[in-house]
Amino acid sequence: MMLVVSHLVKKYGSTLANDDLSFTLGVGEIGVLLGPNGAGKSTAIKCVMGLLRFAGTIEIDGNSNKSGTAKRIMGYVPEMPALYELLTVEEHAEFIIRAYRLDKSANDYANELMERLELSDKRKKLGKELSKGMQQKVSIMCALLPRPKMLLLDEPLVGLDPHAIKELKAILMELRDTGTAIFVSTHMIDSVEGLWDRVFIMVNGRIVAARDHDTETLKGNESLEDLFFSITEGQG
Amino acid sequence: MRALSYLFLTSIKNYLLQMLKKPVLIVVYALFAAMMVFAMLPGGRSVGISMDMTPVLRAGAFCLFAFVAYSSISKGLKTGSTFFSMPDVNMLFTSPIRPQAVLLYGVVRQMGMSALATLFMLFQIPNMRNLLHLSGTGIFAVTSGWFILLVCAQIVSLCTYSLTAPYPQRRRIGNYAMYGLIAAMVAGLGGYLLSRGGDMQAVLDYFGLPIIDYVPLVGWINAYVMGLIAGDTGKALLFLLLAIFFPALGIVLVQRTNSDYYEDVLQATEQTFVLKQAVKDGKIGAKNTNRNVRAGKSGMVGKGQGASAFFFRHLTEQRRTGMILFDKGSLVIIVGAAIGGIILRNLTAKGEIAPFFSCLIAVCILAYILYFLTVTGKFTQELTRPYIYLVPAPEILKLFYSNLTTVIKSLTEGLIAFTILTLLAGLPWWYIPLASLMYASLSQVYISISILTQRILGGSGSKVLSTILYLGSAGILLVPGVVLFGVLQAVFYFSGQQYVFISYLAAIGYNVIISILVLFLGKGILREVEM
Repeated sequence: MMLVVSHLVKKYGSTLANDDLSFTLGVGEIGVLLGPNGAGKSTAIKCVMGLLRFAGTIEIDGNSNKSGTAKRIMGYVPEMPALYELLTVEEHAEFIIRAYRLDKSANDYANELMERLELSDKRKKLGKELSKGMQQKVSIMCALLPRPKMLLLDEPLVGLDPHAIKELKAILMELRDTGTAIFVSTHMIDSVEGLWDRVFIMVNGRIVAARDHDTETLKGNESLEDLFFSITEGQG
Repeated sequence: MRALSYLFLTSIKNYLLQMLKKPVLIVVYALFAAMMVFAMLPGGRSVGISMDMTPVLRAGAFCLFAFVAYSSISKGLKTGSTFFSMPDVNMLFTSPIRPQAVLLYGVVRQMGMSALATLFMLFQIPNMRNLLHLSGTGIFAVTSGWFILLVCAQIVSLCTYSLTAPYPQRRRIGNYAMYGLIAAMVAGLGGYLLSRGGDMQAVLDYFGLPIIDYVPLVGWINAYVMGLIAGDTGKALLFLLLAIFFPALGIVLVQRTNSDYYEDVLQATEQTFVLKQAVKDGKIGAKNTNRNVRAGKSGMVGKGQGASAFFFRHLTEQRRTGMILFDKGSLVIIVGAAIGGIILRNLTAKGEIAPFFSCLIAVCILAYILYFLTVTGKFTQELTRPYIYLVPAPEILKLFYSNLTTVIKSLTEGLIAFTILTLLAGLPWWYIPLASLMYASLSQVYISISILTQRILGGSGSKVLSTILYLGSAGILLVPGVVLFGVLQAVFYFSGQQYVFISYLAAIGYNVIISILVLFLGKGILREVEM
């Protein structure tokens, strides 16, 4: 398993944001964390990324998620794109190449990603000169550049134009085919229809349902949306 | 480290390159540099106050340092501080770079920011020379002490949060220690005054006691400054080392005991990011509202309707934040007024200054402090929301009511400050209402100028640029009022001092007219919406 989360508990003061979450994600699987606003999805993603302290264990490819080894194979697209205002697009790529100690082939990959995400003509632009959507694209490029084995995306489609959405979905499918485990958090059900291998529905800090696309198909003609509403509308 | 040095150096390089593309910015910075050089040049004769200002400087610097340190450390005990930005969280914290290296990078960058903040201190050089009689070494001592304080306070704040946040027990101990120290200081002062008699000299002597030098951080830095001024380099160095050792120890402790500090800075970084985004989007007066505020009693205060509903909504909000009439700035003003009152009383008693000039000096100094403390208030926050534009009520009423809490606050603040000052310094009774009104009206001028500045620059202005523009336009708009006030003061000084209050009335009138005019010039602030 690429991602193993066991009994994850995260509290902010007396507020229980993540209540005993346990789930796994295998190599080459796309897992989707669905839930209404305030369900605790972003907190869970941040815990997995090692940005928050928590109780329980999180392992990435057999290593603690906070270890250098784990970080080397993880990529993260945050909910709020935030770029270095005084670095150009291509300098962001250069910075990531240095931070992850990537080899020279990473430059070619950076060019390819910029091309696919329509960033090539913006490569000399500073972070602060970019629109929110463009910043999101750079954020995606930075996350993909180290060729992570485990990619986490927090509401990745918000703010993207239709071309970028299509391209990102294509990239995710390609990555899945090459064995990357992908974990996407979103509240936009439409955006992940047909994309997922495993789905986890979160309400009030808990995973209240999990489905496997291949082996445990949805009942009859039940869509992801039907499942989501049947669960969430019955819960507080 | 290669990635971090790349990030650091490339950011600086791009900043400089960007400046080259904007000639206007170069001109503004050149003017700024020229103003600083001008400020640093030896001035003319100092004003004719011959008393030794070292005890005043020692006490004043201690109180100022203590205020900054208290603000930082109490923030560290509550919400935490950060010297990281959101991109650091998204890209550095998630990268395989060691957290210790990332922390070091944050500290170095913070030192750079503090150095920039110290630049503004250089504008005080003429005051340091003229009012405090400081030499070049003295000015260096105060400026470097301020820089060291800013860096140390920020580091101590971060370390405090990182070491105490996950442990309520430690946080309690931290709070007890901080407030215990403050209580001990105040009790010590009270005891000293009781034994020595409650005059100003006793207050100043208290801050000169050797034990005060050993108050953590604040006392050490103050002792460094005063050591340099007194030419006692050994003492200065000793306390400098102590002051540096303290935050350094904090960093080592954080590294050794809590290398997992990312969560500790995450919340503060996110809050800062949201705030910066709001300002960038032109949301002038955006504030950090993420404090622990309880809803408490439900329902609006009062019964306002139409435009006055804005005023009562502000009161409802202020009931929750507990900041109806005062904030930290008010405290500075009131304490400043009390200290000023005592100094003026002493000077008047010695016959070194006439009451006429005491009135003038007091109002000028408080207006000057207000210049740096004015917050844009509820009105500017109102402009960031759609309702002020949408509510069907006369614009003038909407302007009036949405600004009313700020007017009440500055008027109350002024009344308290000038009542204390007048009573302590023995000034004429008419001075209280007129100086308070002048103070409140000036606060309105400052606010309208800051709105105008933001309107001109929109969301694109850099902080430095908007500060310079604010200072510049404030200078221009205030000059006619200052000239009017100055001329009338001179006229009444020579022709009959009993009518000097007319000069205050004229200045108040000018302030009111100019602030209304600027608000309407920024126009149609409520009609031509550009949110």
